[in-house]
Amino acid sequence: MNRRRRAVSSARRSSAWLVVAGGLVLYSVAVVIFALTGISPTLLLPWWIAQAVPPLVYALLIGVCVRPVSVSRWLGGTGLLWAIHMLLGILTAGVVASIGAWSVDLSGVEAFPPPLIPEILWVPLLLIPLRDSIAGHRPAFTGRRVKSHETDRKMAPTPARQAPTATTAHVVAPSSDAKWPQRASRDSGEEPEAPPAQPSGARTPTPLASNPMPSGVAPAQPISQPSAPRLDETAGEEMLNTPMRISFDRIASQFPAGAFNVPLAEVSASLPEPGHLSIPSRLVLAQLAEGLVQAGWDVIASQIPERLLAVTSQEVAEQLTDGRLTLPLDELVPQVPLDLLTSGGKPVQVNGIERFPAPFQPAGSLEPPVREEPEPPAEWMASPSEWPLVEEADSDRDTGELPVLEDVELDETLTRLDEIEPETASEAEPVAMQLQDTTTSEQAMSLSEPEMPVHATAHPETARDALAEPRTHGSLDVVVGSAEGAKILASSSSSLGVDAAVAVAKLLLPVLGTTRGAWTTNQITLKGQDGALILTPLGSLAGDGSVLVSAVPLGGSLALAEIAALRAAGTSTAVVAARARDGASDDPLDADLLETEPTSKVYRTAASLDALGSIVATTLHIRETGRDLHLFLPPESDVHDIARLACEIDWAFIAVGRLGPRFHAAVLRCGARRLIIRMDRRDTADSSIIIVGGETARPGLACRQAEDAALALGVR
Amino acid sequence: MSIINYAKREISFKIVYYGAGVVGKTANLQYIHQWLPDANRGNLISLATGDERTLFFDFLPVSAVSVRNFTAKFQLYTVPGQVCYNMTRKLVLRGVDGVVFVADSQWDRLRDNVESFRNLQENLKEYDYDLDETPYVIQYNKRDLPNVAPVAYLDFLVNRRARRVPSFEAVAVDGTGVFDTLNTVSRMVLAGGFAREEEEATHEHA
Repeated sequence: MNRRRRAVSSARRSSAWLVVAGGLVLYSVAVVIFALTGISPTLLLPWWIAQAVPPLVYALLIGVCVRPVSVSRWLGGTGLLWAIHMLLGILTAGVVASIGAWSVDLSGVEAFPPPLIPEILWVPLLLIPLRDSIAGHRPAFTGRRVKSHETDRKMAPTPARQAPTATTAHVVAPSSDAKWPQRASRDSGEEPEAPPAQPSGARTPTPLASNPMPSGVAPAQPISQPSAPRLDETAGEEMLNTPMRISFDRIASQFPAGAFNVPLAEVSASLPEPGHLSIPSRLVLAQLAEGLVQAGWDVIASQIPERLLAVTSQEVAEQLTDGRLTLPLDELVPQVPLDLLTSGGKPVQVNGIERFPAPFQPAGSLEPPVREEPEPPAEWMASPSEWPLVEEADSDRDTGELPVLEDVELDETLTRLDEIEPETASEAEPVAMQLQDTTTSEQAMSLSEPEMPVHATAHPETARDALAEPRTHGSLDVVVGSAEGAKILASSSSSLGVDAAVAVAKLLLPVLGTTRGAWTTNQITLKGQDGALILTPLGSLAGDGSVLVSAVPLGGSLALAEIAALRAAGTSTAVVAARARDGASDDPLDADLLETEPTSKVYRTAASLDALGSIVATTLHIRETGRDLHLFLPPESDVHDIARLACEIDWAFIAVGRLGPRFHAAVLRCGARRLIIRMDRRDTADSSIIIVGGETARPGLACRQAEDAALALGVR
Repeated sequence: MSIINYAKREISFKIVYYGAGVVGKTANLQYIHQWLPDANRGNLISLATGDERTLFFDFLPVSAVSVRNFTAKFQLYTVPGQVCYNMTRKLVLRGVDGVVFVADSQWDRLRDNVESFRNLQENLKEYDYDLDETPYVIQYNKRDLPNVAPVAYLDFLVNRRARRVPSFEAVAVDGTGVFDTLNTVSRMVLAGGFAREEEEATHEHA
């Protein structure tokens, strides 16, 4: 086995020189001992043989230890070591002569050529630090031979790592699953070397010295990117002369206490532009590359009436943290033209990357389960969710024809997304999408794919690429159905078929369209072994609203699909909550829930759910089935109502499971709140149900903690 | 530190997930570990403090495809993100074959991203590595949070070198973009590694 590692040059390793120094000490000690004891290290060889041995030995060592090496460097290295050998021998002889005890005939300068040993024992040590210098290359990798029982190939130090350079003529098709940087000039296919397009009034980059920044702000250093000029040097004069504005409220907390003799609200209202502060663009652009924009007090002092200050202006400046105010980037960056930010270097090109398939696939996505669509079981058809189904699209897809769309009217939220140019797919990089229906598929894809608002508004090309990104894998299938007057727009790119997605949506419509106390559901995500299903109402389900159903495969961009669906829904989902859950008492799903004392393990689990704020653990027991429901909800939540909701979803999962798809978790998005319902993956009738809910700023972490809680409580 | 075992026909690469503290490096490895088939993954070794901050590093060995009769194996590492653990970060970077720079998308973490990226370059330089010659990708994590910066600005901060690299939006805790990131950096490493082997073979024959 060969073990290779990149390393610094051997000559720069202090350890190598330490070995040499140690060897020299030992050599000196040996010489002195020889001299004092009269022991002669002279070999009984003809003198010319003894002198021929060192260069031969050195040549051999260089050939072995320094590879690859050219003949000239080999000879040069041998000569160097031999010269050192002779020099050392002469010096040694001189030293020994001064001691005067060595019985060697050759001593002093007359002793040339020097004796064979002990010089030959030390000089080879110089190869340790000089190895790379003799080889004449910078060691990208240094080889270390290790044992192997096979005929391993010896790894010699190799040339520097092949860098994927932009100068290569071989432009590699980008990975199908990567978001590759956009070329600045797509049409021409050439990489612009010049600074980015400038706004009208563009000018030659102005040296900073001629455009002094306001005091109190250190000029920002570009972040180790020598080729990227600072924005204040590349922006046009018009841009530089246009001040940016920020909300006074965003920085008000940074002022020292007692700086003003009036409330901050009054200060804000007294500004030249009430509520806002003006910031020089040059100052912002100069620091934008640092991820932090700061301004000295003097930048804004002139905008605040002096009469409002309780202390002197100088005192305010001195009391500021670091003497500066940190400005809100989220208000400043949107004021910067996008073309200033998007200029950059050339995209990376890696020769040969197309020869390697994606090495890793998440479990479950390697071989999508092939299953036959069973007939809906009688129990399911007889269930309360026995809605009329519109399934004409099934047969249409089987015969390769387009689904019937006459009875579908798209909501405004959908038509708004149609502004995206229709040639999206054709202009994008190769993407494995097999669209069944051009019109419907594009609409659905626009909804289920992440929408990049910045790109979409300013750079249509970028927006097209963002839409064409293979956030999901496999072909995209689309179908339209309806139930209880609500349209179901379903798209699927996972092994979870679009028909199953529609069936699940129909089963869960009652859950989606009702409100449970403070829990207003505006999106449900179901997670299962075949992927995830996102249900998002696009309007009032009580009327003629629509439900967007997106199936995402395992490993797909679930969160982005959720966000995109919510964006599509806009504000219309708020109407969903208006539908009251009527007839609850008649619902056969209503279970007899008995409140029991949670176990200590449940309490301990509650303590681990810190991503959801303050929660209270409750355990409910379903008398009929013997199952327990462990609820971790904010105080004063209606645990019985939430428990019934969980039971309904559990029932829906069981019904869906008979059709094929199996789900084990549901995440209900309720504004800033999340309600996570976790069932057991196993088909155990007495397994517990975990319900975790609360307001969170870290929904991903909340889901993970809920998963951990489920595992801790034996829910697999 | 690519390791080639010609006897077993294995080639191993080292990929390091780099970034500031609490950006989701460990979450990436946890998701990979959770979702890779058992046959393709080893144990995830993680040494973390009580508040789930990585104390030393995380390590996850995974095996992947067979390329030219070689089994490609990858050793995935994370580094501790806190500023005070720079020596550990430097150690973990030794012999790196590919880097995933994980950036936090939130506005208030942008400065940390920039400093961490700069720290990455400095630490690579300690080993005479050049970031421009090292396969790396950038992952913009936590895209599910409400206060995230646009990708264009994130690119501007950490991906505007002379050579721009692939970047990915991700939500590591639920797996969004995790495998896309890993697959791309792996392919870049594989391409570079095998191209180097070919070059060496050519050199030896010459």
